[in-house]
Amino acid sequence: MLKRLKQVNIGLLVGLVILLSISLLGLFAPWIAPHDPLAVNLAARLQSPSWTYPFGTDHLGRCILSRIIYGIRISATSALIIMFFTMLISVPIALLTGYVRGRSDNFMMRIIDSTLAIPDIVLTIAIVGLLGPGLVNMIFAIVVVRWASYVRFIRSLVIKISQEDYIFSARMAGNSHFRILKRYILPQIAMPILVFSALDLGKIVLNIASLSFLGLGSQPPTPEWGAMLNDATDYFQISPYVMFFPGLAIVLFVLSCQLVSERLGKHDITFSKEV
Amino acid sequence: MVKFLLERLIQLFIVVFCVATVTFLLVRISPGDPATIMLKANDIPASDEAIYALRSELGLTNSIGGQYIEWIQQIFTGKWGVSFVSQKPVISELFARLPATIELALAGLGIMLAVTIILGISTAIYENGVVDKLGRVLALLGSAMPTFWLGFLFMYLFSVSLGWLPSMGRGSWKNLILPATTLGLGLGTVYARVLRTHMLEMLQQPFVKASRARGISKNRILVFQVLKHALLPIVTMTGTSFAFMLGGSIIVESIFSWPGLGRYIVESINMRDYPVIQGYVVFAAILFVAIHMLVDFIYLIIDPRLNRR
Repeated sequence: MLKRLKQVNIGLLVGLVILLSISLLGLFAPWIAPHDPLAVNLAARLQSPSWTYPFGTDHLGRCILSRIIYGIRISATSALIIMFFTMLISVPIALLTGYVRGRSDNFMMRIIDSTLAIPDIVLTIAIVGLLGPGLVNMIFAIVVVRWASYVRFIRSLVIKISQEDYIFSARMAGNSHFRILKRYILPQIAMPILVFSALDLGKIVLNIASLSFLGLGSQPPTPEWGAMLNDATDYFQISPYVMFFPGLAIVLFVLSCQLVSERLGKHDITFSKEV
Repeated sequence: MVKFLLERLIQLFIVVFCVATVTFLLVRISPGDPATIMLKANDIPASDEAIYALRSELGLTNSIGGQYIEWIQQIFTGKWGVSFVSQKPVISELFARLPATIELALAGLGIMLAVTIILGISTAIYENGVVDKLGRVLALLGSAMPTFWLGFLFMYLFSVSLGWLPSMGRGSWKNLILPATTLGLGLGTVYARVLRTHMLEMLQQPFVKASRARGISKNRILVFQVLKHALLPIVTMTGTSFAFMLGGSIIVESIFSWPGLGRYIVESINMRDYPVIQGYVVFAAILFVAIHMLVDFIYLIIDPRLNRR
C-alpha cells in the first residue's frame, strides 16, 4: 500500500492540491477576498493589476480577484447540484436497464441515443431559451442534457459485471435481485463512476461558464466566471485583464479535474487487479 | 437501399413530431406569461391592451389543444410562425443565416483535420519525445480551454495588439481565420491523440514487421501505410465532429459577431422572441438528424457489409 502511495503520480497530487485550494478559497471567500465583489468604484474602473487590486478592476471598478474568488461559490455549488441530480436520475435507471435488459432497455437506449445525437451545448441552449435565461433554468437544462451520457456509461459497466460468474453464483445462492444490485454491482462500479464524474465536474463548470458567457446562466451583477467574460466583451480591448484572469480560473479548474480523473483512472485499474 | 431511406425518413418524421411537441410543452410549463415577458424584454410597457394584442398575435388566446394543433400544422406546412422582432416568417429568417454558419463549421472542420493529421503524425513519429509531450499538454489544454476564452486571446493578440486580422463580422477569407481556428483547434489537439494511439497500435501489426523486414524505413511506413489505416476512425469521426462544429459555432459566432444561426438564436433568446426560439429548436433537430442520416448513408456506400443485416 505504501509503495503504491509513493507511486501516485505528481499529476494527481497537483490536481488535488489545486482543487482543494480552489474549494478552500470559495469556502472562506469573505475572509480572503480583498474587496466586496459587488462594490462599484467608478473612479477606479479598468485598472491594471496593482497592490490594491491584484488582478485589476472591471468596467464598473469592481475588484476582479474578489469576483473570481466569489465566483467559485456559484460555479462549484451549481456544478455539485447538477452532479447530484444527474446521479440521482441516472444511477437507478442505469442499474435497472443494464441489469434487467430487454425491451425497456432498448426503449431507453433509443431515447438516449437521440439525445446524444445533438451536441450538448445546442440542446442546453434550446432548453434554456424555451424556459428563459437564469441560474435555476440553466441547472435544470444541464441536468436534462447530461443524464443521458451518465446512463450510457454506467449501464455499460453494469452489463459487463452482470455477466460475471459470481453474479450467477450469488443469484443461485438465493440473493434477491435488489441485494445483488446493492451488494455486488454497486460497489464495483463506484470507483469508475467517481473517475467519470471527476472528469465531468470540469465539463460541467465549462458548461456553466459557456452559458453564463452567452448571458443565459447566472445574471449580472452576480460574480460568475463566464458572466465576467461576458462583461469583458466590450472592454477587453482597453484592458485585457478583465478577460484574462476569469478565463485562467476556468482553465485551472477544468485542468485539475482532468488531471485527477486521469490519474485516478490509471490507479483504479491497479487497485481492482489487486482485489 | 430504398428501404433504408424510407425507414430513415419515417424516423425523421417521428423525431420532428416529438421535438415539436416537447418544445410546445416547455414553453407552456415555463413560469410566467410569454407575452408579458416578451414585452418586458423589449422595453415595451406591459399594459393590458398590449398584453392582449400580443397574446392573440401569438395565438395564446386559443385553447391549449387548439394551440398545439396549430403549431404542428405550422411545422408541417412550412411557415413556422412569425418572428416577433422582424415580423418575417421564422423559416426564412433561419435559412438566411444558415450559409454563414455552415461556412464557419466547414472551415473549423478543415482546421481541426489539419491539426489532427499534422500533430497526430508528428507525435507518433517522435513517440515519447519532446513533440509527443508537447502534444499531450496541448490536448489537455485543448479540452480544458473554453472556446470563448481562446477566442478572446486570439482576438487580443492578432487583431488588437498585432492588427493582422479583423476581429468582427463576415467578409473576406481574413475574417474567417480567427473564428475557424478558435472553433477547430481544441478538438483537433484531442483527436491528434486518438490518431497517434491508432497509429502506434497499427505499428504492432504483422504487415508493418514485414515491411520493416524488407528494409523500408520506419517513418516511411508510418506515413504511407499506417496512416491510411489509422485515418479510418478519424474519417468516421468527421460526421460527428461536423455536428459539434455546428454546436460550438453558437459561442464562436457570439464572440466574433459572425452573422450566423448561433448568434441569431442567442439574440432571440435575449429578446424572448419565442416563435424564433421554437423554430430554431425544431430546425436544429432536423439538421442534426439529417447529418446523422447522411453519415449512415455514406457508411453504407463505403462498407456494403452493413446492408446485409
